[in-house]
Amino acid sequence: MVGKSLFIEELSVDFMISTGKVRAVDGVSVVFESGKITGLIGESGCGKSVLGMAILDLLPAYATLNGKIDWGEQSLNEYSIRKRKLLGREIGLIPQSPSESLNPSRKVKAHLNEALRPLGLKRQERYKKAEKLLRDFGFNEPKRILKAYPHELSGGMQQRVLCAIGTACSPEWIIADEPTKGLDSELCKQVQQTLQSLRIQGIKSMLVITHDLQLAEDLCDTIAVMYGGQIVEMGDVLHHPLHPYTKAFLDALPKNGLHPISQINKGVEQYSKGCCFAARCLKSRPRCFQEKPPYKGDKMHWVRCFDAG
Amino acid sequence: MKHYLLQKLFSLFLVLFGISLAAFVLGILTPGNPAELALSKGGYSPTPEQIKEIEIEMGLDVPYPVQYVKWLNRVLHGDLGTSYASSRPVRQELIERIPITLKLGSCAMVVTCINGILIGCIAAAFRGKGIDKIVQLGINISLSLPAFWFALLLILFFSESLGWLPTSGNGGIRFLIMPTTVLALPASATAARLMRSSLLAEFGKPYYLAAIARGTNRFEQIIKNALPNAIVPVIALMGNTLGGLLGGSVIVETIFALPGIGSYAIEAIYGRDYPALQGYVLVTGCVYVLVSLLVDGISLLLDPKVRVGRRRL
Repeated sequence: MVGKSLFIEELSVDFMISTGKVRAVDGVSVVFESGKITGLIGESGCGKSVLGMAILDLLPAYATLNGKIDWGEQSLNEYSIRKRKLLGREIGLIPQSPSESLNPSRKVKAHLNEALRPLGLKRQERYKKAEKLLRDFGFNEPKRILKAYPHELSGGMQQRVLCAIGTACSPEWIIADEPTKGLDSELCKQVQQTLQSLRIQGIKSMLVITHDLQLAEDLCDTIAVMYGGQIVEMGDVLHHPLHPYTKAFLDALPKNGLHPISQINKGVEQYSKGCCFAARCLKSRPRCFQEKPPYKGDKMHWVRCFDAG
Repeated sequence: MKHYLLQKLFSLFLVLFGISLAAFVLGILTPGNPAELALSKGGYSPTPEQIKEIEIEMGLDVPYPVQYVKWLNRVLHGDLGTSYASSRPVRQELIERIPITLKLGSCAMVVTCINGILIGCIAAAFRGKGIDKIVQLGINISLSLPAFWFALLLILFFSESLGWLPTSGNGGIRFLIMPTTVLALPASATAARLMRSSLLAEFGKPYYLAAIARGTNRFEQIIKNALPNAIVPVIALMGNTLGGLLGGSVIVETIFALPGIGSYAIEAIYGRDYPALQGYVLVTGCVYVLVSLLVDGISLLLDPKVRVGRRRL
C-alpha cells in the first residue's frame, strides 16, 4: 500500500501580537513524501516548529493559517484535524522539550493509557501493549516505568517515553519536533537510534524538525532547509548545497571553519517582496529584492534562488 | 521536606504568639476601665473603693507583661474569661455558637468548591464563546453585589413574596439556604475566575499540546490533564476562603439572625464585652492559621514531586 504524502500549498501562518502581525511561515509549498524520513532544518525562529504545529493543527488561538494542507486525498484544513480524529491515530507527534511535554501530575501509565485508547483494547490488553511499547523503546523494566511520574525519569527516558506515546497507535506519519533539543551528545545518539527503530515499529513516514545537522544527516532521506519562514531548498542539501543560505549555513559549522553568515537576521517581514535571504546574501542582485525566486530543479532536489541551478 | 516542616512550625508558633498578643492588647487598648465596666452593669455606679477591689480581684493592678503571662496561662488552660454581658464563661458561649458557624461555613464551602471549579472549567473550555462571556459577566456581577443588599433581596423575594423560605433564625437546612447563597456567591465567583485563568494558562503548555496530539478528547484534555495542575492555586484560594468563613460572617449572621460566632463578635463590640471579643479574636485567629497550614499541606501533597519524591527506578 502506498502511504499518504503531505502536500502543503502556499501555507502562511501569522501570529497576531500586541505590536501587530508576525509572519512565521511565509508561503511554503512543499511535499513531504510518504515512506521517507524528511528533515526540516534551519536556525532558531525560522518557523520550522510552527510549520510542524500547523500540520498538526496545534497552533495557538492567536495564530491565523492560510493555504492548503492535504494529507493524501484528504484536506486537513477544511475541517479541523482534531475533529477528524487523525491525531495520534494517523499522525503522531514526538514533542520537543521532553521534560515539559509529559504531564507532571500524572503517571506514565496514564499517558500511555490515553494514547492507546483509540485501539479499542480492553484494560488488561492495553496494559500489556503499554509494557511491550516501553520494552521496544529500550526499557528493561516497563512495569516500574509505568508506575513512575515524569519527574522520576531522566531526560533520555522521558524522550523515549514520549516516543512510545507518539507511536502507540502505529500512526502512518510521525512529526518529531526537535527531538534532540537540549540533550547531550550521548543522549542524542540514543534518540537517533530510537527514531531509527521507529521504522521497525511500522512507522513509514517521518518529518524530523531539528537544528541538529548530525541527526539530520544520519537519519533523514531528504532534507528541507528553512529560512525566514520559507523553505529555500530541499533534497540532498548537506552534500550538494545549491542555495547561498544552505552554503553559508554549512560553512558556519565548526568542521567547515566556523564562518559566520554576514549581517544579522532581520526577521521575516522586511523582505517579503523578494527573496527572504537577499539582505544577507553575498550574491544578491536588485532583482532578488523585487521578486520571489522561482522553484528550480526537480522533485528530488529543488531550490529557490535566481542564481542556482 | 523536614526542613520545610520545621520552618513552617516555627512560623506557625510565631503567628499564634502574635494572635495571642493582639487579643491581649485589644483588652488593654479599649477605652474604659474593665473593672468599672464589670461593675457598672444595669446603671449602677460603683465607688472608687469598689473599683480598686475588683481591679485587684481581676489582676489588673500588676504590670502588663505579668498580666499577659497570667492571661496566657489561663487561656492555655481553656479559660477565656467571663463575658461582661452575660456573666457566663466566654468558652461556654463560644462552644455553643461555633457549631452554627461551622455548619454555615461548611455549607458555603461545599457550594463554593462545586460552583467555582465547575463554572471555571466550563468557562475555560468555551473560551471566548457565548458561555464564557455570560460566565464572565456573572462573575463581575456576583463580585459587585454587596452582601447585605443581596441578602435583603433574597429575603424580600423568597420569604416575603413567595414564602418559600424562613426569613431568619436557626433551624434545619431550610434556614441555611439563603445565608449559604449569600456567602457562597462572591466566593464562587472568585474561585471560578481563578479556575478559568489557571486552566487557560495550562492550555498553552507543551504537555497539554502533547496530550491533544495523542488524540485525547476534550474531557481527557481538560479534566484529566489540565485540571490536576490548574487546581493548585484554586485550592490555596479555597483555604483562605474557608479560613474567612469559619471566622463567621458578621453581616450574614446578623441579617439572618443566626447565633454564630460572627454575630457573637458584633454583639460583643456593641456591648463593649472585651473578654468575649478577645475570645473571638483568639479562636478565629487560631482556626485561620490551622486551616491555612492544612491547605499548604494539601497543596504540597498534590505535587507528586513532593508526595513520592524520587524513587529509585
